[in-house]
Amino acid sequence: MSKLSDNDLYERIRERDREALELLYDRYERLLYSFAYRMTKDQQIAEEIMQDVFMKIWQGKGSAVYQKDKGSLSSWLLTITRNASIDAIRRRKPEVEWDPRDSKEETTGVEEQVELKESNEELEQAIALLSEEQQKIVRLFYFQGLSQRKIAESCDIPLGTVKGRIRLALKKLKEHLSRERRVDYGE
Amino acid sequence: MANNKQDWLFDYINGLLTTEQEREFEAWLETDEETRQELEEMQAIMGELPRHIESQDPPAGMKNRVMDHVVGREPEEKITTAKPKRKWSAVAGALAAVLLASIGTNVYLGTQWQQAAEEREELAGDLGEMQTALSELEDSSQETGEVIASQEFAATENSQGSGRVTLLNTEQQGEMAVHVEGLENLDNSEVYQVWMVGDGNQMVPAGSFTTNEDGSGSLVFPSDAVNEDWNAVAITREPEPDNEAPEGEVVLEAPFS
Repeated sequence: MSKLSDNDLYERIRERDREALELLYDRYERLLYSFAYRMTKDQQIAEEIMQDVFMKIWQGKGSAVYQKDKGSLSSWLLTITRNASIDAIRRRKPEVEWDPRDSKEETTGVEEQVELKESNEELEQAIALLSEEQQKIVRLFYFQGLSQRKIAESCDIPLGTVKGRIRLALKKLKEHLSRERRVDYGE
Repeated sequence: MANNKQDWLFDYINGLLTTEQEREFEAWLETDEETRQELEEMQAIMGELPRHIESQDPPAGMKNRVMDHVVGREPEEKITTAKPKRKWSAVAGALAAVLLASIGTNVYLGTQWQQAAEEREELAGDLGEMQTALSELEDSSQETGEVIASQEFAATENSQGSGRVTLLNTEQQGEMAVHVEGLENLDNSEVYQVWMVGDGNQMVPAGSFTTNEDGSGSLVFPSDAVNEDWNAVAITREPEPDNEAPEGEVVLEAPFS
């Protein structure tokens, strides 16, 4: 059973196969937990997000049903993990910037900026290569889940240009990342 | 936001559209190939980012806790509640369901982790009390109330208290039953307000209650909305009842899927 594809496992989970749920958990625990932790910077909240995500998978209602034609199961798992992370962030500290890194540009000195740029994390290294405004847009949009209107206000740019700038920042980020190797999560 | 639906793209991705806007956007996506491709492209990039983050060691025992939470909470059985002879008996039945679910969890965990003998005695005492309470309701004929979900509340960073929320369907209607303990005492006109939390942090009021001097309180809120897909139930401390949107901080919350 351990050699089953993701899609086979998911089908079995839909048939209430607990062993399949456990196998899927084993397969994605590290990736999803790392992501939830990166989003929230809180071990307990990240664990709650894991519970939330696997409850969604197990119950499989409404929007929490995976559709093969909309991408891989792993991408879908990451999407629902991000959504659950953003919901958790909003519930706890609405409208408050939660990631210390996000406010660094206003509050930290050169030394810490250098430290950030020397981060071992590939994603952080790639973000550091973006322009200052693009870095801010990525953090506000991707890691905090802010609306386009709030991003426009925060970055002091016209609302009509936000969509284009988010798109450009994400594409630039992808370019930088394509030169990096993925972290091996044993998927 | 602008009227052009393609400008809703990133708010759609972040789950910030209203249900109606989301429906409109998805219908429009069916007709607009360019935006659909753009959505897929952005989602693909966003799905790639987590694969480049720093790997974290999961906390010890997390797998067991997650699996217990997910599979242990499954509404496998129907809980029997009393059929209302009097107006209050439906409320009593729903509250009994909350307490039963709570005790059921304790017993399950007790079996799972071999808790100390005195804790088991305490649970047995709780069970005895519940059996007494339920027997008082048994003079009514029986109906089944199907538990949709039941979840413990967790206190937030700056609050205290605990409790449980159960969503269930009786023959008549959907109900949300809440029982909490150990909350801070309220001032004057303050209430504890219950909210059903949807996507995009949409907060829908679901009744309010006050607590006794021990900080305990209960609420049964009849609403067929319990059958919808909520992310959480949250409780805030509000300066007055009937607020349409929360003014106070969340004190307890129970995440749902």
